[in-house]
Amino acid sequence: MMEFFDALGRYGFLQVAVAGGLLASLACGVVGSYVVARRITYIAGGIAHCVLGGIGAACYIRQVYDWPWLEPIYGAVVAALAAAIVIGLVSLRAKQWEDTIIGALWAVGMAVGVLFVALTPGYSQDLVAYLFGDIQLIRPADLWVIAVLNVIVLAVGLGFYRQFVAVCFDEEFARTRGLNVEAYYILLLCLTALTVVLLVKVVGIVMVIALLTLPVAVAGTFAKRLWQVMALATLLSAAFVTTGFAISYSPELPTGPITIILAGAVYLLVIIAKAIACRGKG
Amino acid sequence: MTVTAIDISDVSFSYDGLPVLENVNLRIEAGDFVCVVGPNGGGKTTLLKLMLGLLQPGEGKVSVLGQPPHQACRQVGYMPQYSLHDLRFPVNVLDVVLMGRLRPGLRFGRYSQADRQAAMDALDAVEIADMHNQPLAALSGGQRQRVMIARALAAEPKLLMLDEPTNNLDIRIGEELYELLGELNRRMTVVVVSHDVGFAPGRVKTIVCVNRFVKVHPTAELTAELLREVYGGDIRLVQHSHDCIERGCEGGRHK
Repeated sequence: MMEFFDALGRYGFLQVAVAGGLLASLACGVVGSYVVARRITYIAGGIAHCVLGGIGAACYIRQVYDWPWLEPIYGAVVAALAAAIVIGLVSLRAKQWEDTIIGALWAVGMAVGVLFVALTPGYSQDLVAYLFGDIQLIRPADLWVIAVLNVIVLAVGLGFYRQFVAVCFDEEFARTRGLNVEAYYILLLCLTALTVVLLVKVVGIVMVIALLTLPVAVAGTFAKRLWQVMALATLLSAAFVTTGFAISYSPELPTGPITIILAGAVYLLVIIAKAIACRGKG
Repeated sequence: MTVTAIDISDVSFSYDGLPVLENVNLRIEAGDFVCVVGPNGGGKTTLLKLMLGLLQPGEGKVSVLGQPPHQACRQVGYMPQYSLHDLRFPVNVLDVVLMGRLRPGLRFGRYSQADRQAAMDALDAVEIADMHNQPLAALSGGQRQRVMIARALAAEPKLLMLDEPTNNLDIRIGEELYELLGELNRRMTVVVVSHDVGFAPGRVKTIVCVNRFVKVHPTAELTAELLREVYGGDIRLVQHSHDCIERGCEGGRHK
């Protein structure tokens, strides 16, 4: 681990990676808290897997049509927002089809992505990085995109805090207060989509839901108000991301899985400790 | 001169072709304390949701405080059914009551000092202001119902609508809650949906019986005959309410 901090002082690419991880943690803590409170983790999972379709399509178009400005992350943003809006509309208009549609998008998004990556010469190595994450692949150019997405997510997510809390807590009451509940719901899914894109760089598509929910789950056992959960979850996810990176650095283990296992282990310890504490009291 | 709080004319409503309410005409005057009673599945909650603008009538017209329901929302306080809340949601009492200060056109930012003051006043009115920092999950059932009433009051409404406020409460706590509603009725019109008229003796002024059709009775007219007509041949109910009337209190209780 010391070796990691040594290297961090010396290598710019490591600093970029850590900065990216820390930035992503901000959005992760805020939006993750809404996702857990509103219980839409499964929707976040569906959006995450659709992202691969967008990444694959972007890689393909970039290579085949020679559009060097088309970064894969742009494709990811478009696919994630499209998935969020489709799932949101289905969930509002045809609730009974919701899980079917999410499941279908989940798998079809993956399939489209895998196909495009296979059709694109020289990208198959990247597929693994997108699926399982590789924080070291964050480049200075990505950092800008991550920063911009982060500003959007935080501004909207915190600016409309009152409305989101009300809509997540009691949709029907919020509607009687004259709030456009549907619009806020779709907006929340769009924020979730952007956050998922940020996190894909850090832990990969497959493990995004874990980083979105585990810090919130840990925070939720201590904090009693939603903004406190957000603050604590942000700190926790920043700690998980950096520590996961540090642990995996010297033995050259994949960073994403280490981060998730670390987060899972902390959550497990917290619930065990809580159960013991409750028994002690009772 | 009396002012009309709610005016429902020739309203019918059906779910997927199944009629729930038929040809409903109902007028509630300002200052009234209305208890909407009827069997489960009889259309009580549907009627309430029509008044709140959460549902649109298939036929007919609903008007609240002289406006379409969705426009009247700023002046209406609503308390939904108890079971709808997730107690793991991380909020404290004041957070919940502040939701009553939401209004159309609200944009970016935080609640103002005036909003906080109104929320604290609402908590004062339901006598739990000292609990404003407690997590919602730490409260008893009766206290939580008071929080939900405070949330409805925080909007400073002219009309208060409550859906089954005494569900899951023991009789004493339920009676205290009706006492509170009676107190609030001095300032505003109150409409309560309940399958439990028994909590309300002396406070409720009008009983609205809903079983697909709607009938209105001043509480003084409430008799065993009438309840039998509304609920069908529910013998236990009729005997129970009959006892109640013989003891000199108006209203009946079932379940």
